[in-house]
Amino acid sequence: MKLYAQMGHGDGEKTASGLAEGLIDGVILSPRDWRPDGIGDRIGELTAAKADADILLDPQFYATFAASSEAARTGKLPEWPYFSAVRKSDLELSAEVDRVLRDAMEHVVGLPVTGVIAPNIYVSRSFDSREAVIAKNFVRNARGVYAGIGDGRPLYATIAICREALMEKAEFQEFLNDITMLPEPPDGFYLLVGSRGTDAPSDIFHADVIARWMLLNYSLKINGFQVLNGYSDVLAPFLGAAGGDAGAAGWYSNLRVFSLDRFQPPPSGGRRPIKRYLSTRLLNRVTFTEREALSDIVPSVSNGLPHDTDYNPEPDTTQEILQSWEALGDLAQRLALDDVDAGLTACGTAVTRAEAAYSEIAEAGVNLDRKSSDDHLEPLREGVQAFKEMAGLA
Amino acid sequence: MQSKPDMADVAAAVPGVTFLDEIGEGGFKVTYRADVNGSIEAAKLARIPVDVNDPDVEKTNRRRLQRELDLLAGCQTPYLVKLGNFAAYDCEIAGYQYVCYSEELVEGGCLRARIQAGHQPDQNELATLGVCLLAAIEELAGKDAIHRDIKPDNVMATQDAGRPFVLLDLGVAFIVGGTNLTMDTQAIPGTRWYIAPEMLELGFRQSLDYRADLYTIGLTMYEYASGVNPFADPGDPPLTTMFRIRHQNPPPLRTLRADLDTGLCALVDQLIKKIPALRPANLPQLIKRMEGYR
Repeated sequence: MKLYAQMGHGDGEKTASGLAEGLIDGVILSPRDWRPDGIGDRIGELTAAKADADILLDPQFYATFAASSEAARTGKLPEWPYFSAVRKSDLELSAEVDRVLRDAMEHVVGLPVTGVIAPNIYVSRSFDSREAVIAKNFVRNARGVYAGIGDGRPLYATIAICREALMEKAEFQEFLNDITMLPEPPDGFYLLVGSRGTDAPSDIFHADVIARWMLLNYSLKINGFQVLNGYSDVLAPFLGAAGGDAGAAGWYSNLRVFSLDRFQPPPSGGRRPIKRYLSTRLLNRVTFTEREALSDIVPSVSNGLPHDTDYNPEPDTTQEILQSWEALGDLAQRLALDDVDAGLTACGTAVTRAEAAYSEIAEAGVNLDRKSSDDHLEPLREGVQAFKEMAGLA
Repeated sequence: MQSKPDMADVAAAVPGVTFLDEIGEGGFKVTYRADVNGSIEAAKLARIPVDVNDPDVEKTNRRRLQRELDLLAGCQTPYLVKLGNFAAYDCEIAGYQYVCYSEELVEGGCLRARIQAGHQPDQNELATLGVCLLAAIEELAGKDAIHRDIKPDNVMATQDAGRPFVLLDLGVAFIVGGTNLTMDTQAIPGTRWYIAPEMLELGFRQSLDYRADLYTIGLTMYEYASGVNPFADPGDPPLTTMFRIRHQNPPPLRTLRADLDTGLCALVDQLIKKIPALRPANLPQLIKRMEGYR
């Protein structure tokens, strides 16, 4: 499984370092955070760091409905010529969908990217909604419009959906049945599952959401598609076990969990994020100080990987994300196996080992921060089991 | 078939065909070995359901039958039975409306007979069966058609290397009778064991596609390989069978045929997944994969 940097504000040397060290295989660029006239140079810097890096650009058209608000935090997105605020009613016309697809893809093919991600809107409610109909039209029409542009690079259709949509079983299965029988299919899909917020522990950690995101990966892979999971972070290796080809994570919490909150005005204030360490054993991040406290009591919390040394003393933001990518890559190697049954067994083992480590921590009397707790483990265990049952693998 | 006509009455009602003997019977159809202008063919006598209160029922069913015969006439694949020399002929026997037509008589034995005789195909034969059936539905899918009645009884194994397996009965029974024929499972013993899970959902016609045929191909391969239909138990009431079809996962084929390639077993298992989206639907890729196991 490949691991990508989910890029955002404040990149600095993070992605270039991650690529140069081989911790990540590619990047997903964010137009919200880069001006169109500077993106070419930035891509050049990234490919200088790793010549065979996968370079993709998420057109972020799903922010279109939010963009009509003056308070919207669309950053540099409006500077991109294909982006504008459109109304849902306009997109009910297939011709308008085609126009949006063409405008975005014509712009993206002019960049030195290795594949083209087609735009789409965000399905904020249910697969049985007007938004879902529009979104399916974006998926259906993408190949035809792309063929007209005449570019040979792989085409990825975006599916950006709220977590609630995944929780409606019948509608979800119907959607799945539809997109796996497209007359003109793309080469792959770029999947985004939206949370109601980006604070950890994320509400993405819900058994049904995890199970169906895994099922989406499994189904698309069986049907011959490449599957890229944006903003998937710790879930990426689990999605890889179900067949996903790539996962992505960035350095801030809003680059690890997808949410349209990123494009909305912030609630108030904000503070510098606490430095955290991603423990492959815990399948979660703990704070810098928690890791220090645990290092002697429960040494298995440390990964024993090269970037562990960056945590003595406290790492900077670049070191922190490099450590995260290193840990995610290690997890992906162990969980995202070619054999789905073996991968799922490895996922189960990983959760069991995490539970044991958390028990050790509890027995040692160490109180963890809420975000560092084991709240994610039950949904993970139940999610993997529910996926196995739905996929007929139990 | 209830109130099946006597063969002598059939012969009297259908000129130009010499009916030799009966070779098969379904819920709404009888098949005879017959001489058609010196050629030995399979003459089919299909009853047309009518409704005395609604003349449109008969018209609709006749149109559906003709549409299916036209479809069969347009198919080129050697793995589908071909139409014979006797074109559709309307007749009435003992007050029932029928259409008689002929298909080629495919020499060989059906898979059901082989299963009952305890035959176990080797890997090459099983994969060849898969390739033939997939190629047949690929052609049908290209014409927006679904067979909907693939089962061991409807697949003939021949001695012809150019067409080792031939798929019979192009869904005519289903089309002629529409919903009632297919869902009236007590009237068609056996067929209920070969219904794709999605066809048990309300309103399934809205979204039915050729993946229902992938399911029945997988199930036919599974049964041919193992001798077992995992959902079938003649003693069960239909609802129990339907529950199994919708909810029960069969044992992996590998557990019943450890001598077969793991990948081939896994592929057969994948074809009988409950959710259509979990069956690999890219037919050219699927046929290529299946060919790899020959």
